[in-house]
Amino acid sequence: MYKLLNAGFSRLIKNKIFWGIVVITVIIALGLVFNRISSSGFFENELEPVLTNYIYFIGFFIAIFTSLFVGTEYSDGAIRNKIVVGHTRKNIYLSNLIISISVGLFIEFVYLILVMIIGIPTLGGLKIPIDRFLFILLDMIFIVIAYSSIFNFITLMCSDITIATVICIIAFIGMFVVSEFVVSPIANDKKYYSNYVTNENGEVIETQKRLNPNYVGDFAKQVYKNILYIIPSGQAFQIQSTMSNLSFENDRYMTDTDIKLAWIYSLGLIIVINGIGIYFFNRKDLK
Amino acid sequence: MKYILETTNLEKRYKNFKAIDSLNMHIPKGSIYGLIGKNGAGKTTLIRLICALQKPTNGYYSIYGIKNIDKQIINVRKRIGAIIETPSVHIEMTARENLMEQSKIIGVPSYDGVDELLKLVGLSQTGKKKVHDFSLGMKQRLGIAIALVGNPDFLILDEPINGLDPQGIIDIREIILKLNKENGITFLISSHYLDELSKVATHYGFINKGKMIQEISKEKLEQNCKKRIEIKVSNIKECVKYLEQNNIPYEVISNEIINIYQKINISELAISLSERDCIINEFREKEETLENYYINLIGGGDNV
Repeated sequence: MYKLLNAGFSRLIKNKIFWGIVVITVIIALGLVFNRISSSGFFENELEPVLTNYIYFIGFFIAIFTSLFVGTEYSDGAIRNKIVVGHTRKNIYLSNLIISISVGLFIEFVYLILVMIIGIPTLGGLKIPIDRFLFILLDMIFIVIAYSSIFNFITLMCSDITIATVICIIAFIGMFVVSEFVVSPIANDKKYYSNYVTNENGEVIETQKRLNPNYVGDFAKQVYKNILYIIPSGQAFQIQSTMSNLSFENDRYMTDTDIKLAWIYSLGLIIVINGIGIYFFNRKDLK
Repeated sequence: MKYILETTNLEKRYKNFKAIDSLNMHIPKGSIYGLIGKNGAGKTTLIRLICALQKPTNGYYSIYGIKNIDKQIINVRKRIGAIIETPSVHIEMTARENLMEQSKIIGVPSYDGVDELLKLVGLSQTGKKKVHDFSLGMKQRLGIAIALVGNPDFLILDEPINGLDPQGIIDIREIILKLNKENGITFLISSHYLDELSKVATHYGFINKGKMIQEISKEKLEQNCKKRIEIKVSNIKECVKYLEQNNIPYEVISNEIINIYQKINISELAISLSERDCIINEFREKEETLENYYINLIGGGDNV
């Protein structure tokens, strides 16, 4: 395994896609901080939403990187070469996974550090309690590992770099769309809403209680919430929502218990995806 | 240990199609084993099985006497290098970087041998040129160099001269012969370029429809293909006696047929045999190329 990682990381350092993603990450970090400053001025806004903004779309970059980096191993015959000289398929699978996770964490931390370096002096320090921030940070790490696991699985099952890249991007978009879809009913947390009837002077003369047509019921809401927590992008949505509304606890706000639940869901997803991946990669007929 | 690689009733099935069918193969140590078969005969599938890219449906193979189901096979594989269909090279790297990458994969502690390998395959002058700018022949030679990292003593080359120009073919041939003679490396080379293979191979395996049709040494094959006179006689014993007495090289093929490997005076032979109560019923001059031999072996017709 050490030999594979040594070879993989030395190839990574020379990889243009990796450095391209790092540069884009830096640009995004700078752009988001300056956008926050320009929209509300120095020390007028919270730093927290900017800190977690990148977790929204980090999956896209992990999808691109993993499919192209690991896919190249297939197209160049490197995987074949590793098997021929006696490396086990499990080690090959795991070494690619570790490289993908490392890249995901590296770009996430580049973003976080950059935002903190520029953001703290311009927007102010963290208002969220540090232990709670660390809870969320750990969940972000789990999200990165989950994304890497999914895209590493797809790429190693596909063997064709082009198809793998397309499927990884579609998978990311699909997870994003599903998250968006399930977020909406969760956000509609009231069964009834009030309809106010006003007179000519704008005074409320009657309050009508109307059934919320978007309300899906408690059971369905729980199901949607579970789906949201299983999908890495869903957790990213929740984290962003939580960090954007630090003092406002609605159904999309993650309590400490919710965050711990998110860890468990991520961990489960990571174990299942990689377990299935290693099982099938071991049995796959390679060319 | 006599054989570096042995397969026993090896089988690979894809649904209802048998790509490899109860195949037995024996590659002697130090040999250059030419695996001959037309496209789709099962050559590449067989190589994929041996290289662990695919798993056999039935049967087994042994490398250096270690069976593929033995966990020790992982260690044995470190003594193998292979090029399967296309060379495994990183096209965005230089030749040197590719060899250094392979050294890391294998766990070779230093890069001391890299320059020597580049020199061996004639790529020491490529410098910073990336592999995507290499010709096919250069990529193939780099593939061999990569396969040689870690000093393996068994190299598997699948169709190594496919698509190469004449100079490229000569280069690969010279490298193979040099490595075999100077380093004692055993080769398994699959190809459908029979003439080219005949210039390097010491042993042959003829494969068709996933089955091993025949394994034969170069000497035996040359003897089989040699210019000869085939005669069908009425009394084989008398004919053999005559040939022995006159020191004429021959081979008894059946109860009636004898091959004679020397130019002879037919009239004289016919008279001499007739005096011994032996009549020549049929007479034929024969000479086969490797190609003809292969075609005859697999039955010609639809099999060609």
